Amino acid sequence: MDYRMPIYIQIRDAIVQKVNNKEYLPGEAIPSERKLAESYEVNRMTVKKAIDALVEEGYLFRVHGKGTFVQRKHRQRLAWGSDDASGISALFREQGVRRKDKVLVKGLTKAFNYLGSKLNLAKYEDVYVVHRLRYANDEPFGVEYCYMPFKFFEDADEHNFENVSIYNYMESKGHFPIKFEQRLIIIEADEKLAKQMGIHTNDPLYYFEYLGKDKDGNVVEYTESYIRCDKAVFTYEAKRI
Amino acid sequence: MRLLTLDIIVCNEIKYMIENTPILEGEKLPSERELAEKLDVQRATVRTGLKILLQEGWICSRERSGYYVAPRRIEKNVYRISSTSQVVSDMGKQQHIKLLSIEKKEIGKDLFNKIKLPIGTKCFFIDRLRYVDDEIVSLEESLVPCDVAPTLMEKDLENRSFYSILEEDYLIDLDSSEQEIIVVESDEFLSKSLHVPVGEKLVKQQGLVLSIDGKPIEYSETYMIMNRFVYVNDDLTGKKS
Repeated sequence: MDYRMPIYIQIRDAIVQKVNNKEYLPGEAIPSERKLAESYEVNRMTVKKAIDALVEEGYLFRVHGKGTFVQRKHRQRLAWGSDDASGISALFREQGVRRKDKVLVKGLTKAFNYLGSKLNLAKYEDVYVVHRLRYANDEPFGVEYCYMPFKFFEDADEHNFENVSIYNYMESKGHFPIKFEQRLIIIEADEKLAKQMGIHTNDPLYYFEYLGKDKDGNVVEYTESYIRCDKAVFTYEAKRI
Repeated sequence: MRLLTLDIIVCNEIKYMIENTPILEGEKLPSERELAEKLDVQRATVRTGLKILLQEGWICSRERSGYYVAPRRIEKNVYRISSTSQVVSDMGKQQHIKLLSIEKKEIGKDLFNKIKLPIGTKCFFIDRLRYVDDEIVSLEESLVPCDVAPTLMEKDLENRSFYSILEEDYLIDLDSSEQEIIVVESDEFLSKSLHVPVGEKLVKQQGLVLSIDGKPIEYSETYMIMNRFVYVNDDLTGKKS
């Protein structure tokens, strides 16, 4: 930001920065116009102009008689990167989203060729499967199919993965995934996925596939995750090396 | 609901055949009847399995001829800024770039925020089409400040990688980039450029590349054919939960 910019733009950017840094949290009121005018030593009209711009841009909204609030974002910005490797739920947790999971199905299946090749299992080895519908702020945002080698997780069925995090469970068995290989494509929802998530057929979805390996290099999970594009925006930071 | 419905198993097993190359890219898939025999399921099950593969872009159908293995997706690296040209040639594919336009213009209100430079900064606006094996895969719109690469108009933007021009000819140390991945619908301009119907979903990647000293070097918006790209992140180390 250039110091020669109009004052109201600088104030506007200062507020945006506080929203981005989570000094002002979504749903929270920002200080009153009077207070802001005092702390920035400017006229109240200047503050009003900055806030008007932010209301127009959708960062803030006003509630008559109550004040100005930070917009709750409908689309979570989710940073896909090294610090956030341990699953989508961790990403949402960090952003203060209220989360809930519903187990659709769970149980044992055989690996066959495909899951066998992903999980390093022989064709007829057992695989434990959990399909979950995932909610953020009471709305479904995704469907997740998690496949685990049964030999590492023989008591998986005794746990309720609506309340227990799969990663915490894996950690308790000494098979916490520490290395991941992830792939992301965009697909259109088929009828089944659309119905599960309450969207239209052919609505776009982020489709993640990931493999997690534990400290000994065992593949401990293969997960397919479908996430509504209207609920999240994935971002990433790449380095030139 | 069944754990893994037969159609999903069929779909997975065909993915396995494609990934482990008994069937190569561009080759015809065995007929529904042959697949039903091979996998020991009903033809109707094979049909729904194939529908999922179509949806995920693994196969494409040709009228009256059957299903073919779709071209392999171009990998986009999430942890490293790498030139797509390099990736394509590593895949053993032919590619060429067509420069649609390069113009010198001042940036306005809609872009200054994105490239993080003041309104009125002179920039090169570059539109390029990327072809892989003679098919259009993406349209790339880049914005480069003129003072970063003053003689960019004289450079060969069709045969040289963009980043190597910046690095070799202008000695810029590229550092990091923040990109976001969203889905948009094709408007008339995009449809005409990419030869897709209006309203077709496209993957849009947008973001800013910075130099080591934190200067904005390139802001780009790339529109990609949905089935031609995959984002890959296989260098992830998770943090302890």
